[in-house]
Amino acid sequence: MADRENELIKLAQSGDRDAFCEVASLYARKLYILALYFTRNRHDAEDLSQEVWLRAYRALGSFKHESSFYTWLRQITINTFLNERRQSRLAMESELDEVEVEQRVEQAIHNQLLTEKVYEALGELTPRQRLMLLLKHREGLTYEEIAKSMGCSAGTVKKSLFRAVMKLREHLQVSEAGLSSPADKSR
Amino acid sequence: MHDCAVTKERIAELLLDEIGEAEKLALICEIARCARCACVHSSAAAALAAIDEAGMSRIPGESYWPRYEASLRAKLEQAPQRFRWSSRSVAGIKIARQLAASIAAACILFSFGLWLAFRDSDPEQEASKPQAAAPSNPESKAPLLAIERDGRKTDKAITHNQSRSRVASSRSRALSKNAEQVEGGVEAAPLEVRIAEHVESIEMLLRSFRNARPVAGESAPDLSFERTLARRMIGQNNRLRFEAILSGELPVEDLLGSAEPFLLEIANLPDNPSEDQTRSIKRLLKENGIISELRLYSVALGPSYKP
Repeated sequence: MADRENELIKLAQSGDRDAFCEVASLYARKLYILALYFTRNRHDAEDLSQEVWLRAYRALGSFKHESSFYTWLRQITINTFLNERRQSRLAMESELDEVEVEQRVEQAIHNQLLTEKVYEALGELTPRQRLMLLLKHREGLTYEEIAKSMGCSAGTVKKSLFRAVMKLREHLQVSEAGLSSPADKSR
Repeated sequence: MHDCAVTKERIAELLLDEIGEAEKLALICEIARCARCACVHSSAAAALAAIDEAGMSRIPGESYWPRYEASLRAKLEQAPQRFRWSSRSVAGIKIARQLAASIAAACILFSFGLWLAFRDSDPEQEASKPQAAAPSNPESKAPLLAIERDGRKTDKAITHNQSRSRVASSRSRALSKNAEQVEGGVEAAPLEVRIAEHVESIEMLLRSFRNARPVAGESAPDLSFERTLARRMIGQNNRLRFEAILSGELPVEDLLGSAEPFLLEIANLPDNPSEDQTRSIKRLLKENGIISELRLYSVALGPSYKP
């Protein structure tokens, strides 16, 4: 798998676009999910993740095989996300009719409500906090690795993540029975 | 002694898997003993779980990905890779590298020869000799204080003005190699060589500008040499851009085009630029990352290219 990936990357570095697309297909889903968490919007996630691929394609010549391709790609992802200037769309997605996964209507509604609530909670975090949380929680990076990637100290990462988790906890107020509504909170 | 505030911080670390197994067990026991901490722990854990669940439910179905890939492919077709060299170009670059290395070595030897030739006839040193011989001159009292009885100069004799001009002259000498290249010494070389030399010259000029520091007692660094050099390089930059377009080296043209505003900014600096003026250019240099791009170009020429 790794050999095949290296072979594809070398081909891509020599200008083979198809090879690059094949490499992209290996990580496209992973990258898209990160972008989706970050932007909280499908269309923005698509644009942002594709922007990462474009940057990676342009900079592929500088990839020296000293780290794994994904590590290199992740650094491009971090830089692209941090440079993302566009404001995320305020309107939350309402795509119940577009839910492509086969599931019962009740489940779909539950997911929709959960997603809206989670996106809202993620929206309470600053972009840097959100990115740190994704790198820690989704990507499994250590505080030191995040600090190195984002150009800050491990202490800053630790504090930011603590604040992020507490903000999410307060905003989501998840009970064992599921998500509570704002009305529940006031009770 | 249990402290809820401290434990709360540790809960975040526990949930984010940032503590060791032994500590983890102790912390879980501590959380279990405090109802408040247990509540924080369970709700924070549930919040993170909700994030995971929400993310999973929003992953598009399989039918989405062919569309995504087609759209990405369309975008890639409009985005050429930077510095992608054909095998012919690579062969050309190898020759260019050797030529550039030879030229650089010749320049260094020439500069060293010049330095040796003019070292003893440095006008500043010449000027200081009559001062030593004429102690009655009130302006020359300070340096004379440092002249020992046997007539030899000590370090103290290096006055403020001398140190300033020495810093400037050493920087000038370091950059003189580039000035010679700019003046057309390598004009007859192939385009790749001239571009490589020019890119290196710009990089050195920008680095010199960025690293210029005022000498003691001055508020701003002396940038007159950088300014003169930048003025000379603008013409060369334009010529090479034009030639790069003609030979289809568009990424190179793009790179030279990115460097041009900086050359213009430096060339148009006033005689005594304020700190703000130089700082704004330095900030732009940092934000734009042009020095790294120029370096990247040199790196693309290969590890054996060591001017």
